[in-house]
Amino acid sequence: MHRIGIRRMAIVALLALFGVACGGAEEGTDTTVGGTADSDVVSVAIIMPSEINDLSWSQQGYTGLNALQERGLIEFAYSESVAEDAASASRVLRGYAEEGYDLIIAHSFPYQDAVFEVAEEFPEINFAWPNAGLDRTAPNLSGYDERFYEAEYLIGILAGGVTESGVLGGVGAFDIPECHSMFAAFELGAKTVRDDITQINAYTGDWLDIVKASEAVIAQADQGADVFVTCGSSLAQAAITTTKERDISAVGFVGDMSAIAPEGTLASVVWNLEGMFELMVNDVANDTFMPGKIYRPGVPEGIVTVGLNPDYGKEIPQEVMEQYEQAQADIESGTFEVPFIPEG
Amino acid sequence: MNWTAVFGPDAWVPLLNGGVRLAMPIALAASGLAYVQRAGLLNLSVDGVMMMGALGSFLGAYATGSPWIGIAAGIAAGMLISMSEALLVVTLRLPQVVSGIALFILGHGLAVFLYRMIFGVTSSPPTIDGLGVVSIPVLSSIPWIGPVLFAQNPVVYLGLALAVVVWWLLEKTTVGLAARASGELPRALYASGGSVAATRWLAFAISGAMAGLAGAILVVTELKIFGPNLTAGRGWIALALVIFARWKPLWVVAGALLFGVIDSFQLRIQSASGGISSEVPYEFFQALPYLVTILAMWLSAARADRSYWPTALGDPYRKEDQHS
Repeated sequence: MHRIGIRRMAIVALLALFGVACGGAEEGTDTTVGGTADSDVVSVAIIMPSEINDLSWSQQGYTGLNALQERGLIEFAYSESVAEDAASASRVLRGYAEEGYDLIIAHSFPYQDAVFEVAEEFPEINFAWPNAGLDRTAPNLSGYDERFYEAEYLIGILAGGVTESGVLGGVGAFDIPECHSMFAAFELGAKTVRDDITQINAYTGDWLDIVKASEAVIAQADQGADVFVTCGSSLAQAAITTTKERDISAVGFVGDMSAIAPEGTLASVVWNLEGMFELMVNDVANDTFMPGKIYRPGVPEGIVTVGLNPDYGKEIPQEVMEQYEQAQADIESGTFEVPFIPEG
Repeated sequence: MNWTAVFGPDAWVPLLNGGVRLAMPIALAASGLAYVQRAGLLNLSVDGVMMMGALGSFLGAYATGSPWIGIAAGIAAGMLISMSEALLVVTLRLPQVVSGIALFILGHGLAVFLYRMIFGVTSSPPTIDGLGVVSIPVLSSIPWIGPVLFAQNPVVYLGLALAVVVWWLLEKTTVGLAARASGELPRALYASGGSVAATRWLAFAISGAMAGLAGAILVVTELKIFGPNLTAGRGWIALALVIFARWKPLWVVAGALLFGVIDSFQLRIQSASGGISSEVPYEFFQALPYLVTILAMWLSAARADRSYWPTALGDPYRKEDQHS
């Protein structure tokens, strides 16, 4: 009996270890940890909500920082798949703060509570967080905008030229200001090409449920939609992969997703996080990061761009391309400002 | 509100067709669960088993280019996790709840971890060739039910056939009788010369195969890519459904179809009702399948007596306790 008891405990302990090891956040460090060896090089730590190979949100953050590191501007460490509840996120953020990083980025809006809490505990460290339209800062915490709606307006123009049925589809997980403004801008852009456009939208309730997102796309395709705007990396992946099943087109989210289905990807909204983070890194290096402010670069500054897909299967009419290029020039010059519609 | 888009004659067939498609993973997982729970085993790891099944099928299809080999690999991967739970629960007699949940976590973590190890960080994600829809020649022309039931992916047909096999095995064979005895009164099975351990190992194998197939369906049919949390809680929905259907393998399929059809319906009505501009909050539509399932569970529990619950469900079996 006693023998079996010890064996059992050992096995349960092993199981618990396994579970913890495989379940929680994955951490990766690219270089030396802790303060900077060279005072010109800024040390950056970033926590991300999903995998660095999600082709989207986290991957853009990772590759952006990687590029800055290769240019010798920073050294960085990262944690991916950090759960978005305050306890998990603040634990990881606190860990980086205690190691003395110059700039700590909490790369997802739901990290809000955690990052404000930890920023208050470490007033001498710079923090950044995507504020998604909520203009909230702290003395040592800056927000950065996600002006994807500007790019979606432009892609909407292309969609208006490409749609055959006149019905557009939109899939997201939740009706947050970021997604709402993207869908609204997409519709507005399309309406400048054809005024009989209608757009139908649906929300799946889960950022990660690719299968349900694919079903939402199919449901809308059954109702006539043939070009899809997407909000959320898994949802965009689902929409693009579904273009292989039905004669529809889809738009990539936050990264160039055309590799999943080149013929069906109209374009992608690309977030140039290398540029965005460079702005912050320069401010940190020049000691002008604090007090916390909002970084608002979008399409005009080249931080949010439209990734056109040369392998797209359908032809975009010439006059629509010209309208697109004109609109792009207008936005970049400041002549035209894409309306930001966060709700309603 | 575009009612014809949801309720018009042209809309019903895609709606129901989508309902069957959405239901299949849950139906298969629940069908295997019905068997293993009737044998007295909780098998809480089912969602993790489905995840490993999804990964296994993706890897198998990617390596060989054949979706069917992928499906076989998915079944094998699912069985691997399930048999691990059998080792813990049946042979080592560790607590079922802890073992089940530990393997659920392991299944998810291992699937994502292996995928990353093999494919790394890339801007061109791997994709596989999936299976398309195959319409059965004569049957799919039957008005109404033809296009709904007989114009599906071949894996759906396979899954439905296997669900019937599981029912037949459990209810109509001596193997199934041994399983049921193991879940009601294991002592009796032992006394009649049967092996409770062997019966339970087999039950885990069957559940693992079905849940592995459920995971494979997620990947190999429309999606053809892999991602974290593909299962999105479907294993847990299957666990709830098994109780709702009172552990009867064919009823779980019916329950899963109910859930799938309501889910298919809520996605369509969201778009038709104006999506983000709709009067009814879209969150209500998202909750609808769960609400209907809970209602059905409650109604069935109110009517049923507790005799449907396998008496020995969740209890460990120790031979040496016989003579106490």
